[in-house]
Amino acid sequence: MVLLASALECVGLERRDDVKAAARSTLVRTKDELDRFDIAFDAFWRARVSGADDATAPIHGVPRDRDDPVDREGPSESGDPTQAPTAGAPLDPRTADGGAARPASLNAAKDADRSFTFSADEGLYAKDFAEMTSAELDAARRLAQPGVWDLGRRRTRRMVARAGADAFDARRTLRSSLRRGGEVVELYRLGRKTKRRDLVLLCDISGSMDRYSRLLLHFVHTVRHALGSVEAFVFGTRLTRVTHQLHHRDTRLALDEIASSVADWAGGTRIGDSLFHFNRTWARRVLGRGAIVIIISDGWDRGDVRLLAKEMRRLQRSAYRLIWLNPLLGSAGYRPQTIGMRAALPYVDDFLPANNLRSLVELAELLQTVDHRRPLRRQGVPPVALAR
Amino acid sequence: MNPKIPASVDDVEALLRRGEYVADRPLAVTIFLALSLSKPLFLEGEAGVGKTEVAKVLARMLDRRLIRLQCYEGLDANHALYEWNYAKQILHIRLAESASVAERAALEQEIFGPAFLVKRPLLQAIDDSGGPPAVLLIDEIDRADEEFEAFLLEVLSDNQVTVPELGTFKATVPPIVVLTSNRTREVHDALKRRCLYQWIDYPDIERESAIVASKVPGIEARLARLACAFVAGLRAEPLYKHPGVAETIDWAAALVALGAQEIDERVAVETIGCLLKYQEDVKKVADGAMGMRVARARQAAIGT
Repeated sequence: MVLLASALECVGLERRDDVKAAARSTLVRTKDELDRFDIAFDAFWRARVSGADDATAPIHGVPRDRDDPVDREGPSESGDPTQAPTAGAPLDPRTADGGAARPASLNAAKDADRSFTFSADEGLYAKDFAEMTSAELDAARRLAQPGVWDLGRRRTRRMVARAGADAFDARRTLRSSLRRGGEVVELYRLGRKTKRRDLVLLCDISGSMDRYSRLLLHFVHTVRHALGSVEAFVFGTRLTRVTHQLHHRDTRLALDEIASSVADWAGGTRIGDSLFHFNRTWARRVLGRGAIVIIISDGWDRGDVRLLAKEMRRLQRSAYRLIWLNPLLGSAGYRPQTIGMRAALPYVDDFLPANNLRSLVELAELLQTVDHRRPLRRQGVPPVALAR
Repeated sequence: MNPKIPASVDDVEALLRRGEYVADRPLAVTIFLALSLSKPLFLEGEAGVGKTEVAKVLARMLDRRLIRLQCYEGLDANHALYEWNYAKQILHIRLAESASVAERAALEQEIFGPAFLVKRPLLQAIDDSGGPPAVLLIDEIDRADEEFEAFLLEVLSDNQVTVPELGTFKATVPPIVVLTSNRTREVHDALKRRCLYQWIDYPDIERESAIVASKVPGIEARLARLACAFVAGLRAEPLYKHPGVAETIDWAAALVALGAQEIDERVAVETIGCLLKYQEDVKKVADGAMGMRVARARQAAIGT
């Protein structure tokens, strides 16, 4: 704030674009916020100039943030125009509220926005993906924005200087004491550096998952770009690594590349064989640092069930936490009856639904809490399924 | 001084043979290039295929010191490069104080002198003023973290180390650098690009027999060959962890220790623990087909 004030002092208040540039340079921290800032700034001036009426109009046409995965799956039906602003409308409070003299009008505009969209969102959050119309699917995709994803951290072996930690930093303490002729005046301490855990995603793309696959892969793509790097695999009858294909910022391009590099899209399912391949070829390379593994599948399996159980047990031992997302779990009255699902369940740490946005939000919350304390693993007893 | 760098790939092969390291031609070519171009050698492969051995053999055959840096997560400059012996320094100061009015300048010179510098592997490899040049083995670089890789890049690119209080140490003869990795993590491109890369695979029956023969003195050639054929058969099966060359050598030594003249089903089942270290694999292999495996191994051993 002080910085903005001094910047405005230097720049002067005669020219609006100069003021905008000054405010931008002092208030905006990341590329993502640039667009939102522009909207807020223009809205502020629009409200001042044209009076209070304009202030209550919802802010239309929120452009995509520049760094977000470009969502070119496109609105297939234009749908209700009032639905369009739902997506990015909640302006980042940091940029929106930061200005020198935020008028009540702008805040009113924001509140009008939020209350206007809240009811539309609420329904969308709870709606099953399989029952959504194309317009709703588009809105759902936009809602799953990066920024909300973070992973729990693990303690690494690397020590860094940290006041108040437990370990004694002999090196630094003695070194600083040399400056005082050997008198130890200050005690320095070392703490363990924490790093974000690795995430490995195994997504089922067989025929039975067809209604969900594309959307869930979109979700995988979003997560990958939010977290920076994620190992992703898809499987049906075989396992294919798709980490490189997710590299594209353009979602449609990434998904198309995945579809073209996978030979068994929407085919049969052999979860056991795929996990066997994963355990043998990839586990040692990607699970080394206490990674979290998420399997997204409905559990319908046509392969060898005993192999499935064996590989699940091996996978649970190698992974830090094994999460199974089942899109069928969300529907009322679902109980894991299939042999495949029942065989795998004893080795799953968290059994969660993945059928609507709310379940994805809850997954995001769970991932943030995974930290250096191990989950309670019951030997061979299935965890309580979280039915909704 | 004596670099003795081999002049051709054939020379490298001869050198490795003299050092009792059985290598295939591609590896010899890569080693030759690494030596001639003064680039680090990056060896990747499953555990127990002989990556570390390469460095040991090179050190032995080229009359160089072998300096080994074992990597682990959290390895940092203090453990890898150098450190000051603070305790000794403080003691020195105290003693000087108690003696007479110490001259501060002289004292400072002393406590940051070479006597108080603890050289760690990277600096030991670069500072060859005291003796022969070095082979620097950086073992299991995939166990170190990214911060260490960045640090290593810096050190490797200059072949010199600057200690602010003392000056710069420069290698008169650049050390031969060998990095090994078990591929439990993808090492970053920046580091790999500086090196010459070689994937070391399991040897074939022929080569493995030669290795076993040289490492297990007193073993019959026939038995060694049979053992290698058996292990080769195991490697073709879908096990969780295939036995490496080190395991084959252990097993051969075990057979000799047991006085076994022949490999039959019973001996194989009893000593399977030398080869397979995972319970699932052991169970999978104890499936009653051991007799068939032994028969197949006999066939393979005769065939080659």
